[in-house]
Amino acid sequence: MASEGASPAGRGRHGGRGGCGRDGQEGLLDGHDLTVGYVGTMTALVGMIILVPLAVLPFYPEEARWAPCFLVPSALCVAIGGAFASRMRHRRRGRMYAGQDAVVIVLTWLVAMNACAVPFWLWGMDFTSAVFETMSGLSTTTFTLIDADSCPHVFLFFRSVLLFFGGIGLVLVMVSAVSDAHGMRLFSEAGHSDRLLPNLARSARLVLRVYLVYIAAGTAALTIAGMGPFDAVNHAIGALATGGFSTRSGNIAAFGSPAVETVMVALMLLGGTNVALHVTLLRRGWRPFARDVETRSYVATVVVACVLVTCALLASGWAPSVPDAVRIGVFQTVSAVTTTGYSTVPSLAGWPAMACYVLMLGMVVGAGANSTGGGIKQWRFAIIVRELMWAMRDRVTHRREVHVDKVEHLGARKAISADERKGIAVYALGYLVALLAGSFVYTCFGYPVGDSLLEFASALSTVGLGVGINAPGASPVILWTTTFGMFLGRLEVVPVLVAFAHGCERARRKARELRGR
Amino acid sequence: MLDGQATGPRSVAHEGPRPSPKGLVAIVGCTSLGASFATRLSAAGRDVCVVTDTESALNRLDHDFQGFTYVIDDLSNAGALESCGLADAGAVFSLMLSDNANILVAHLARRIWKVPVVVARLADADKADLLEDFGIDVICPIELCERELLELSGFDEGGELA
Amino acid sequence: MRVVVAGDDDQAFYLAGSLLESDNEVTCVCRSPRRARVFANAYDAQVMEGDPTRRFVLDDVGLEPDDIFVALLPSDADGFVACLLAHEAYGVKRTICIVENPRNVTLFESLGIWRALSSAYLLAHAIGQASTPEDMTAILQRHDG
Repeated sequence: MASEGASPAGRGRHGGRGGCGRDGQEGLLDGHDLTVGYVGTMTALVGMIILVPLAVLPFYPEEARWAPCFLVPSALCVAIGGAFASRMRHRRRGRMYAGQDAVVIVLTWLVAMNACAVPFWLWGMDFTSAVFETMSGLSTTTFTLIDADSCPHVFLFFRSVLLFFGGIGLVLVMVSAVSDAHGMRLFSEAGHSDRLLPNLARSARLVLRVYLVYIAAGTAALTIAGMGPFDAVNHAIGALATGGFSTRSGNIAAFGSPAVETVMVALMLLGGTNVALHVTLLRRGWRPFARDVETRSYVATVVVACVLVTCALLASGWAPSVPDAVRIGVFQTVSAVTTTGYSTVPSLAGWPAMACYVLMLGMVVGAGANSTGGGIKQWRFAIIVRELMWAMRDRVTHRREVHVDKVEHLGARKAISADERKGIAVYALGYLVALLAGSFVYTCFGYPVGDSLLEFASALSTVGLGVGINAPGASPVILWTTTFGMFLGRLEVVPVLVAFAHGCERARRKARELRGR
Repeated sequence: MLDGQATGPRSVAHEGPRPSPKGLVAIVGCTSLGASFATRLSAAGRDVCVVTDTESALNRLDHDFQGFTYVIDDLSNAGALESCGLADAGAVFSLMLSDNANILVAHLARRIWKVPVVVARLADADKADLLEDFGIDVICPIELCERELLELSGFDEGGELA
Repeated sequence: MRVVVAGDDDQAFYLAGSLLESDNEVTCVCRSPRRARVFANAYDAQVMEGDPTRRFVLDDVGLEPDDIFVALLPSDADGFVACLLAHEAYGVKRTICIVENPRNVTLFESLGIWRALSSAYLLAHAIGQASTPEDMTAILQRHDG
């Protein structure tokens, strides 16, 4: 046996993790370098996304003069982002510190929000309005400051592109393209809780495929219902991304077609459904899908809300006849619950109070988890309702009796852990606090309580229906509050708070350092 | 029948270079070894599922783990393992702390479900032929470590100073 | 021809007792020293102490192909391995395993165990058969006898 006194490391690895002490070319990539690297990658990705709208130029060559509005920011993003991203290559990825994934996501969205605003700004909008419209698109809210009828097709399609990528998720798109060590952490922090497949990249690509197929089918259906092809594509994307941007100023009302409205209702319901449920339906069949606790909650919410809203419209005399009430009531309710935001009426101003209230509740409850929609999400709502029932049952049964509470989800009966239940309750509470805070800002400008709550719920749940508080000419304070609400809602609150807490901690440490000098 | 004093390399059940298993890799038992191996495979892009009987054991899985996890009551229950997808797996690694449970699961996977690659962990090396005679591979961590220790320390295989 | 009873619990204890009463040659293998002493105290039979799933223990028992090997171990997996070892290493043909999970009855038999018995299964069957109070009394009387 060799006995020259060689150290164990000289004999090769004996159980250690990949060469402790032997790094890659430039050292371990972690901390700020890692954040910068990831944000750089995402920035480059955003740069490529900004180019997508140019695909419609062959159909509308007269709009070629707007091309620089997209080319300039795209080139900058790809160049700058690429430069930062290239520092990640060939370097071993270190551990992420607690909350770093949230920081990466929040920074990415801030960059995307500003980068994607540049085309609008170059077109002629002021900065606040450009950022507002961009955030409205990326968050799939779709409050709009633009008059669609006079808007060039490139920009209309750009809005739909924002809806698609923002709705499905920037992180998901990155993960499907780049297989990465931290992919899983970023993916789950970005709100994708249900694992579809055992492999991350494949899961992400499956989600993309599902949505693209639905969009294609939706476009075909809308064309058959009477929309032109450009309108059909944009509305199909808008419905499945639960967005709500229309190619017409009058939104869906401008088409005046029950056929179109029916197709849109179906597409909105699809878009608001949990992707994992889509996959369950495709792979396991109808029964697990129908028995799922989230499906039932979703259906019950939509049905009950539709009935209440329709009755309100009839009773108050707002709708002249039953068919009208049903047509408008169902469309608006589905639009609200799925948090889409397409509308067959110009505004909710003037609607009966009861209907507005139901719509607001529907918006707060929201669409399915892991969907492009917003709100507290149907999964959490289903659990909260059952929590209340279980709590009451526990009160009236023997202390000695043991209950394990299970729900049927994604084809299996699963028990909800105490941690998960606490997380759900805390999330709902946080959501309501945010709602109260944001609507307070609106009231400061003189808007009535009910309208303020409705409008901010619409922002927080990324819906887009409103009474007109967010309109061209609104105060910048209102627009920025709404922008923040959309940001908070789209990222599901937690990453924003974590990133904020991290930022505060860093600031505090820096201040201490400076004081120490 | 071996006499339980094997000091040479453990005979492998297959001969020649082995093709990499396709399809799902199932790991039964989220022990330190199981969790570490599962994370490594998952991070490399394989489809992995981990089956355990204690939920807290799943904390051993790193953040990079992308696969499915299952918590079931009895890890030698064929029906429960089947519902986790083991019957159609490309490889089953039974890495629990109990030799006997590993042996049962390995036999189940190899002889009933005909999974192509089955490996079981054993603490007790002289149970090895209960597996190898049936075409099941064995990993014996204690034996592997003993050999490494001998190499590191400079003793020969009999324990004498070289 | 002898019966080797591997197990610590009361079921193993009473089985050994019954077999001895019907004049069989019995060897007991108990994992726990305390239980081995209980068996040795009660019965005039060979009692070995050790884990019946370990080869060196069964070496000392000296299993022959003609023996009947009965495993009544706490977990089904342990019983499986004991029977498998008896069969593979010593050529015992008649291995019997008492299992908890009724589904393991067919499974173990298809994996080479001669007979597998599930007490839960037998009980459930008996309870199922007791569809009337009279049947229940009849079954209980039979067990007493």
